[in-house]
Amino acid sequence: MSHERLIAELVADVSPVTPLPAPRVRAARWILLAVVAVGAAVALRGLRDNWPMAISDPAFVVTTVLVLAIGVSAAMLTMGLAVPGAVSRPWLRWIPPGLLVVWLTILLVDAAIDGAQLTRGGWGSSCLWKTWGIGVGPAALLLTMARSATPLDWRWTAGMAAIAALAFGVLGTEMICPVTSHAHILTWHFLPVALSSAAVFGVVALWTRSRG
Amino acid sequence: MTAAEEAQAAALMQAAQGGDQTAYMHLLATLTIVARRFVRHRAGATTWIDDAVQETLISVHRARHTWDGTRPFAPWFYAIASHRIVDVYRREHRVRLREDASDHLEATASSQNVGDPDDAVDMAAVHAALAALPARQRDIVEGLKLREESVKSLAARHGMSESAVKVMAHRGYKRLRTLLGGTPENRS
Repeated sequence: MSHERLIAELVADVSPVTPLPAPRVRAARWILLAVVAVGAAVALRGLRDNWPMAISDPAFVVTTVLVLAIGVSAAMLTMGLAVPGAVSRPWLRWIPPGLLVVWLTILLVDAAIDGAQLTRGGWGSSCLWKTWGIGVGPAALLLTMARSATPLDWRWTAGMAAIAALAFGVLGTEMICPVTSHAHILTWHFLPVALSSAAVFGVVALWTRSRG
Repeated sequence: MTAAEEAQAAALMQAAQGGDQTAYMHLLATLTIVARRFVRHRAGATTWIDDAVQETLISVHRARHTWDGTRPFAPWFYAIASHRIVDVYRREHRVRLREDASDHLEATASSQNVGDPDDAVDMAAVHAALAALPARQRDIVEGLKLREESVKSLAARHGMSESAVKVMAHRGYKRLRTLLGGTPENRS
Protein backbone atom coordinates (compact mmCIF):
# COMPACT_ATOMS: atom_id res chain seq x y z
CA MET A 1 0.00 0.00 0.00
CA SER A 2 1.39 3.41 -0.88
CA HIS A 3 1.82 6.10 1.77
CA GLU A 4 -0.70 8.30 -0.05
CA ARG A 5 -3.35 5.59 0.04
CA LEU A 6 -2.71 4.85 3.70
CA ILE A 7 -2.92 8.56 4.60
CA ALA A 8 -6.17 8.86 2.63
CA GLU A 9 -7.63 5.89 4.55
CA LEU A 10 -6.54 7.26 7.93
CA VAL A 11 -7.88 10.73 7.10
CA ALA A 12 -11.21 9.23 6.02
CA ASP A 13 -11.35 7.43 9.38
CA VAL A 14 -10.55 10.46 11.54
CA SER A 15 -13.19 11.67 13.96
CA PRO A 16 -13.09 14.07 16.90
CA VAL A 17 -11.45 12.55 19.96
CA THR A 18 -11.37 13.66 23.57
CA PRO A 19 -7.77 13.79 24.77
CA LEU A 20 -7.16 11.61 27.81
CA PRO A 21 -6.53 13.35 31.14
CA ALA A 22 -2.89 13.46 32.26
CA PRO A 23 -1.50 10.12 33.53
CA ARG A 24 -1.16 11.44 37.10
CA VAL A 25 -4.84 12.44 37.13
CA ARG A 26 -5.89 9.01 35.91
CA ALA A 27 -3.57 7.35 38.42
CA ALA A 28 -5.06 9.44 41.24
CA ARG A 29 -8.56 8.31 40.25
CA TRP A 30 -7.48 4.68 40.28
CA ILE A 31 -5.69 5.02 43.63
CA LEU A 32 -8.88 6.44 45.12
CA LEU A 33 -10.81 3.38 43.93
CA ALA A 34 -8.08 1.01 45.14
CA VAL A 35 -8.24 2.63 48.59
CA VAL A 36 -12.01 2.10 48.56
CA ALA A 37 -11.43 -1.59 47.68
CA VAL A 38 -8.98 -1.95 50.59
CA GLY A 39 -11.40 -0.18 52.92
CA ALA A 40 -14.26 -2.43 51.83
CA ALA A 41 -12.16 -5.57 52.43
CA VAL A 42 -11.12 -4.39 55.89
CA ALA A 43 -14.72 -3.48 56.72
CA LEU A 44 -15.83 -6.92 55.56
CA ARG A 45 -13.16 -9.01 57.31
CA GLY A 46 -12.49 -6.75 60.28
CA LEU A 47 -9.36 -4.90 61.34
CA ARG A 48 -6.71 -7.17 62.90
CA ASP A 49 -7.26 -7.55 66.63
CA ASN A 50 -3.69 -6.50 67.46
CA TRP A 51 -3.91 -3.30 65.41
CA PRO A 52 -2.92 -0.94 68.30
CA MET A 53 0.24 -2.99 68.83
CA ALA A 54 1.02 -3.15 65.10
CA ILE A 55 0.62 0.57 64.56
CA SER A 56 3.01 1.30 67.43
CA ASP A 57 5.70 -0.89 65.80
CA PRO A 58 8.03 1.32 63.70
CA ALA A 59 8.91 -1.58 61.38
CA PHE A 60 5.21 -2.13 60.59
CA VAL A 61 4.64 1.58 59.96
CA VAL A 62 7.70 1.83 57.70
CA THR A 63 6.73 -1.24 55.66
CA THR A 64 3.11 -0.07 55.38
CA VAL A 65 4.25 3.32 54.04
CA LEU A 66 6.66 1.48 51.74
CA VAL A 67 3.92 -0.80 50.37
CA LEU A 68 1.74 2.27 49.81
CA ALA A 69 4.63 3.93 47.95
CA ILE A 70 5.04 0.80 45.82
CA GLY A 71 1.34 0.84 44.92
CA VAL A 72 1.21 4.56 44.19
CA SER A 73 4.41 4.63 42.12
CA ALA A 74 3.42 1.52 40.16
CA ALA A 75 -0.04 2.98 39.44
CA MET A 76 1.49 6.24 38.21
CA LEU A 77 3.94 4.34 36.03
CA THR A 78 1.17 2.13 34.62
CA MET A 79 -0.71 5.21 33.48
CA GLY A 80 2.49 6.87 32.28
CA LEU A 81 3.64 3.85 30.30
CA ALA A 82 0.25 3.70 28.59
CA VAL A 83 0.86 7.11 27.02
CA PRO A 84 3.68 7.32 24.45
CA GLY A 85 6.58 9.41 25.68
CA ALA A 86 5.00 10.20 29.07
CA VAL A 87 7.71 8.35 31.01
CA SER A 88 10.74 10.17 29.73
CA ARG A 89 13.40 8.36 31.76
CA PRO A 90 13.53 4.57 31.37
CA TRP A 91 15.04 4.05 34.83
CA LEU A 92 11.85 5.34 36.46
CA ARG A 93 10.16 2.00 35.75
CA TRP A 94 12.61 0.34 38.13
CA ILE A 95 11.32 2.32 41.13
CA PRO A 96 8.52 -0.11 42.16
CA PRO A 97 10.71 -3.24 41.76
CA GLY A 98 13.44 -1.37 43.65
CA LEU A 99 11.02 -0.57 46.48
CA LEU A 100 10.03 -4.24 46.57
CA VAL A 101 13.70 -5.09 47.10
CA VAL A 102 13.83 -2.51 49.92
CA TRP A 103 10.79 -4.17 51.52
CA LEU A 104 12.46 -7.58 51.24
CA THR A 105 15.64 -6.18 52.76
CA ILE A 106 13.74 -4.69 55.70
CA LEU A 107 11.99 -8.04 56.28
CA LEU A 108 15.27 -9.95 56.19
CA VAL A 109 17.15 -7.49 58.41
CA ASP A 110 14.26 -7.40 60.89
CA ALA A 111 14.18 -11.20 60.94
CA ALA A 112 17.95 -11.38 61.44
CA ILE A 113 17.80 -8.94 64.35
CA ASP A 114 15.05 -10.98 65.99
CA GLY A 115 16.83 -14.25 65.17
CA ALA A 116 13.69 -15.51 63.43
CA GLN A 117 13.58 -18.78 61.45
CA LEU A 118 12.35 -17.74 58.00
CA THR A 119 11.72 -21.32 56.88
CA ARG A 120 9.04 -21.90 59.54
CA GLY A 121 6.27 -19.77 58.09
CA GLY A 122 3.51 -22.33 58.42
CA TRP A 123 0.56 -22.50 56.09
CA GLY A 124 -1.04 -19.12 55.49
CA SER A 125 -2.59 -19.35 52.07
CA SER A 126 -5.64 -17.39 53.26
CA CYS A 127 -3.43 -14.27 53.11
CA LEU A 128 -2.55 -15.12 49.52
CA TRP A 129 -6.25 -15.29 48.65
CA LYS A 130 -6.93 -12.06 50.55
CA THR A 131 -4.21 -10.22 48.61
CA TRP A 132 -5.38 -11.56 45.27
CA GLY A 133 -9.04 -11.06 46.19
CA ILE A 134 -8.54 -7.42 47.13
CA GLY A 135 -6.25 -6.79 44.16
CA VAL A 136 -8.15 -8.48 41.34
CA GLY A 137 -10.82 -5.79 40.88
CA PRO A 138 -8.39 -2.86 40.95
CA ALA A 139 -6.06 -4.82 38.63
CA ALA A 140 -8.80 -5.33 36.05
CA LEU A 141 -9.77 -1.67 36.29
CA LEU A 142 -6.16 -0.52 35.96
CA LEU A 143 -5.58 -2.68 32.89
CA THR A 144 -8.80 -1.41 31.33
CA MET A 145 -7.72 2.17 31.98
CA ALA A 146 -4.27 1.46 30.52
CA ARG A 147 -5.83 -0.18 27.49
CA SER A 148 -7.95 2.88 26.80
CA ALA A 149 -4.66 4.71 26.21
CA THR A 150 -1.95 3.19 24.01
CA PRO A 151 0.62 1.09 25.86
CA LEU A 152 3.62 0.58 23.60
CA ASP A 153 5.20 -2.04 25.83
CA TRP A 154 2.58 -4.32 27.36
CA ARG A 155 5.12 -6.25 29.43
CA TRP A 156 5.99 -3.27 31.58
CA THR A 157 2.49 -1.84 31.59
CA ALA A 158 0.91 -5.11 32.76
CA GLY A 159 3.78 -5.81 35.17
CA MET A 160 3.36 -2.37 36.75
CA ALA A 161 -0.41 -2.83 36.92
CA ALA A 162 0.12 -6.13 38.74
CA ILE A 163 2.52 -4.56 41.23
CA ALA A 164 0.14 -1.64 41.86
CA ALA A 165 -2.96 -3.80 42.37
CA LEU A 166 -1.18 -6.40 44.49
CA ALA A 167 0.50 -3.74 46.61
CA PHE A 168 -2.93 -2.39 47.51
CA GLY A 169 -4.12 -5.97 47.96
CA VAL A 170 -1.36 -6.75 50.45
CA LEU A 171 -1.96 -3.42 52.18
CA GLY A 172 -5.47 -4.67 52.94
CA THR A 173 -4.11 -8.07 54.00
CA GLU A 174 -1.65 -6.42 56.42
CA MET A 175 -4.59 -4.60 58.04
CA ILE A 176 -6.58 -7.83 58.41
CA CYS A 177 -3.96 -10.48 59.18
CA PRO A 178 -2.86 -10.52 62.85
CA VAL A 179 0.16 -12.80 62.30
CA THR A 180 3.42 -11.04 63.13
CA SER A 181 5.87 -13.85 62.29
CA HIS A 182 8.59 -12.73 59.88
CA ALA A 183 8.42 -16.00 58.00
CA HIS A 184 4.65 -15.61 57.49
CA ILE A 185 4.97 -12.04 56.24
CA LEU A 186 7.79 -12.97 53.89
CA THR A 187 6.09 -16.08 52.52
CA TRP A 188 2.44 -15.05 52.45
CA HIS A 189 2.54 -11.24 52.16
CA PHE A 190 5.70 -10.29 50.28
CA LEU A 191 6.20 -13.24 47.93
CA PRO A 192 2.68 -13.22 46.41
CA VAL A 193 3.23 -9.60 45.34
CA ALA A 194 6.73 -10.13 43.99
CA LEU A 195 6.18 -13.50 42.30
CA SER A 196 2.74 -12.75 40.87
CA SER A 197 4.01 -9.48 39.36
CA ALA A 198 7.04 -11.24 37.88
CA ALA A 199 4.74 -13.96 36.51
CA VAL A 200 2.46 -11.38 34.89
CA PHE A 201 5.49 -9.70 33.30
CA GLY A 202 6.77 -13.05 32.00
CA VAL A 203 3.43 -14.26 30.67
CA VAL A 204 2.75 -10.98 28.89
CA ALA A 205 6.28 -11.01 27.46
CA LEU A 206 5.67 -14.50 26.02
CA TRP A 207 2.25 -13.47 24.75
CA THR A 208 3.54 -10.36 22.96
CA ARG A 209 6.42 -12.38 21.53
CA SER A 210 4.11 -15.07 20.19
CA ARG A 211 1.89 -12.46 18.58
CA GLY A 212 4.96 -11.16 16.74
CA MET B 1 12.08 17.05 14.07
CA THR B 2 12.96 20.72 13.98
CA ALA B 3 11.34 23.18 16.38
CA ALA B 4 9.29 24.61 13.51
CA GLU B 5 8.14 21.14 12.45
CA GLU B 6 7.20 20.30 16.02
CA ALA B 7 5.19 23.50 16.46
CA GLN B 8 3.43 22.88 13.16
CA ALA B 9 2.74 19.23 14.04
CA ALA B 10 1.36 20.18 17.46
CA ALA B 11 -1.01 22.73 15.93
CA LEU B 12 -2.13 20.26 13.27
CA MET B 13 -2.67 17.49 15.84
CA GLN B 14 -4.81 19.75 18.00
CA ALA B 15 -6.96 20.48 14.96
CA ALA B 16 -7.01 16.77 14.04
CA GLN B 17 -8.18 15.85 17.54
CA GLY B 18 -11.16 18.07 16.80
CA GLY B 19 -11.85 16.08 13.62
CA ASP B 20 -10.27 18.45 11.06
CA GLN B 21 -9.49 16.17 8.10
CA THR B 22 -7.41 18.71 6.18
CA ALA B 23 -5.17 19.38 9.17
CA TYR B 24 -4.85 15.64 9.74
CA MET B 25 -3.82 15.03 6.13
CA HIS B 26 -1.12 17.72 6.42
CA LEU B 27 0.01 16.25 9.75
CA LEU B 28 0.35 12.72 8.37
CA ALA B 29 2.18 14.01 5.30
CA THR B 30 4.62 15.89 7.55
CA LEU B 31 5.04 12.90 9.85
CA THR B 32 5.73 10.63 6.88
CA ILE B 33 8.78 12.74 6.04
CA VAL B 34 9.89 12.97 9.67
CA ALA B 35 9.37 9.24 10.26
CA ARG B 36 11.27 8.29 7.12
CA ARG B 37 14.18 10.47 8.22
CA PHE B 38 14.06 8.99 11.72
CA VAL B 39 13.96 5.37 10.54
CA ARG B 40 16.84 5.98 8.16
CA HIS B 41 18.82 7.63 10.96
CA ARG B 42 18.13 4.78 13.41
CA ALA B 43 18.26 1.76 11.11
CA GLY B 44 20.21 2.87 8.05
CA ALA B 45 19.15 2.14 4.48
CA THR B 46 17.05 -0.96 5.18
CA THR B 47 14.44 -2.57 2.95
CA TRP B 48 11.72 -2.03 5.54
CA ILE B 49 11.77 1.76 5.88
CA ASP B 50 8.34 2.09 4.25
CA ASP B 51 6.87 -0.59 6.54
CA ALA B 52 8.19 1.18 9.63
CA VAL B 53 6.88 4.54 8.40
CA GLN B 54 3.42 3.09 7.73
CA GLU B 55 3.30 1.26 11.05
CA THR B 56 4.21 4.55 12.74
CA LEU B 57 1.43 6.43 10.95
CA ILE B 58 -1.12 3.76 11.92
CA SER B 59 0.02 3.91 15.54
CA VAL B 60 -0.16 7.71 15.56
CA HIS B 61 -3.73 7.38 14.28
CA ARG B 62 -4.69 4.90 17.01
CA ALA B 63 -2.95 6.87 19.76
CA ARG B 64 -4.00 10.38 18.76
CA HIS B 65 -6.31 10.71 21.77
CA THR B 66 -3.35 10.16 24.11
CA TRP B 67 -1.44 13.26 23.06
CA ASP B 68 -1.90 16.03 25.59
CA GLY B 69 -1.89 19.45 23.91
CA THR B 70 -0.08 20.94 26.88
CA ARG B 71 2.90 18.61 26.37
CA PRO B 72 5.54 18.65 23.61
CA PHE B 73 4.66 16.70 20.48
CA ALA B 74 8.12 15.34 19.61
CA PRO B 75 8.63 12.95 22.60
CA TRP B 76 5.15 11.50 22.04
CA PHE B 77 5.79 10.95 18.35
CA TYR B 78 9.32 9.60 18.69
CA ALA B 79 8.25 7.15 21.41
CA ILE B 80 5.75 5.68 18.96
CA ALA B 81 8.19 5.69 16.06
CA SER B 82 10.96 4.04 18.13
CA HIS B 83 8.70 1.20 19.22
CA ARG B 84 7.42 0.62 15.71
CA ILE B 85 10.97 0.49 14.33
CA VAL B 86 11.84 -2.19 16.87
CA ASP B 87 8.63 -4.11 16.10
CA VAL B 88 9.18 -4.04 12.34
CA TYR B 89 12.85 -4.94 12.74
CA ARG B 90 11.96 -7.97 14.91
CA ARG B 91 9.25 -9.08 12.49
CA GLU B 92 11.58 -8.77 9.52
CA HIS B 93 14.28 -10.66 11.35
CA ARG B 94 11.88 -13.51 12.20
CA VAL B 95 10.53 -13.68 8.64
CA ARG B 96 14.09 -13.81 7.30
CA LEU B 97 15.00 -16.63 9.68
CA ARG B 98 11.89 -18.59 8.68
CA GLU B 99 12.59 -17.99 4.99
CA ASP B 100 16.15 -19.24 5.41
CA ALA B 101 14.97 -22.31 7.31
CA SER B 102 12.29 -22.98 4.72
CA ASP B 103 14.75 -22.68 1.82
CA HIS B 104 17.18 -24.99 3.61
CA LEU B 105 14.47 -27.62 4.15
CA GLU B 106 13.37 -27.46 0.53
CA ALA B 107 16.94 -27.78 -0.70
CA THR B 108 17.47 -30.79 1.56
CA ALA B 109 14.21 -32.39 0.45
CA SER B 110 15.03 -31.85 -3.24
CA SER B 111 18.46 -33.42 -2.90
CA GLN B 112 17.00 -36.42 -1.09
CA ASN B 113 14.20 -36.95 -3.63
CA VAL B 114 16.33 -37.12 -6.78
CA GLY B 115 15.16 -40.10 -8.79
CA ASP B 116 12.38 -40.89 -6.35
CA PRO B 117 9.61 -42.70 -8.30
CA ASP B 118 7.00 -41.16 -5.98
CA ASP B 119 7.88 -37.63 -7.16
CA ALA B 120 5.02 -37.48 -9.67
CA VAL B 121 2.53 -38.51 -7.01
CA ASP B 122 4.00 -35.95 -4.58
CA MET B 123 3.73 -33.18 -7.14
CA ALA B 124 0.10 -34.05 -7.76
CA ALA B 125 -0.51 -33.84 -4.03
CA VAL B 126 1.33 -30.51 -3.88
CA HIS B 127 -0.82 -29.10 -6.68
CA ALA B 128 -3.97 -30.32 -4.95
CA ALA B 129 -2.82 -28.70 -1.71
CA LEU B 130 -2.01 -25.48 -3.54
CA ALA B 131 -5.51 -25.46 -4.99
CA ALA B 132 -6.89 -25.52 -1.45
CA LEU B 133 -5.18 -22.23 -0.54
CA PRO B 134 -7.06 -18.91 -0.83
CA ALA B 135 -6.49 -17.31 -4.26
CA ARG B 136 -4.16 -14.53 -3.14
CA GLN B 137 -2.07 -16.79 -0.92
CA ARG B 138 -1.85 -19.40 -3.70
CA ASP B 139 -0.68 -16.78 -6.17
CA ILE B 140 2.01 -15.59 -3.72
CA VAL B 141 3.27 -19.11 -2.97
CA GLU B 142 3.25 -20.09 -6.66
CA GLY B 143 4.85 -16.80 -7.61
CA LEU B 144 7.72 -17.26 -5.17
CA LYS B 145 8.29 -20.99 -5.52
CA LEU B 146 7.15 -21.93 -9.04
CA ARG B 147 7.40 -18.77 -11.15
CA GLU B 148 10.46 -17.34 -9.37
CA GLU B 149 8.86 -13.91 -9.03
CA SER B 150 10.31 -11.45 -6.53
CA VAL B 151 8.66 -10.47 -3.28
CA LYS B 152 8.70 -6.87 -4.49
CA SER B 153 6.75 -7.58 -7.67
CA LEU B 154 4.20 -9.70 -5.78
CA ALA B 155 3.83 -6.94 -3.19
CA ALA B 156 3.20 -4.40 -5.93
CA ARG B 157 0.70 -6.63 -7.71
CA HIS B 158 -1.34 -7.35 -4.60
CA GLY B 159 -1.05 -3.88 -3.07
CA MET B 160 0.67 -5.28 0.02
CA SER B 161 3.89 -4.49 1.83
CA GLU B 162 6.84 -6.80 1.23
CA SER B 163 6.68 -7.97 4.84
CA ALA B 164 3.01 -8.84 4.48
CA VAL B 165 3.82 -10.88 1.36
CA LYS B 166 6.53 -12.79 3.26
CA VAL B 167 4.24 -13.42 6.20
CA MET B 168 1.44 -14.63 3.91
CA ALA B 169 3.89 -16.87 2.04
CA HIS B 170 5.16 -18.34 5.28
CA ARG B 171 1.63 -19.07 6.46
CA GLY B 172 0.97 -20.62 3.07
CA TYR B 173 3.96 -22.95 3.47
CA LYS B 174 2.73 -23.99 6.91
CA ARG B 175 -0.75 -24.65 5.54
CA LEU B 176 0.72 -26.70 2.69
CA ARG B 177 2.72 -28.80 5.11
CA THR B 178 -0.39 -29.46 7.14
CA LEU B 179 -2.38 -30.36 4.02
CA LEU B 180 0.40 -32.68 2.89
CA GLY B 181 0.31 -34.53 6.20
CA GLY B 182 3.31 -32.92 7.92
CA THR B 183 3.41 -31.05 11.22
CA PRO B 184 4.33 -27.42 10.66
CA GLU B 185 6.02 -26.98 14.04
CA ASN B 186 8.45 -29.85 13.43
CA ARG B 187 9.48 -28.75 10.03
CA SER B 188 9.76 -24.98 10.14
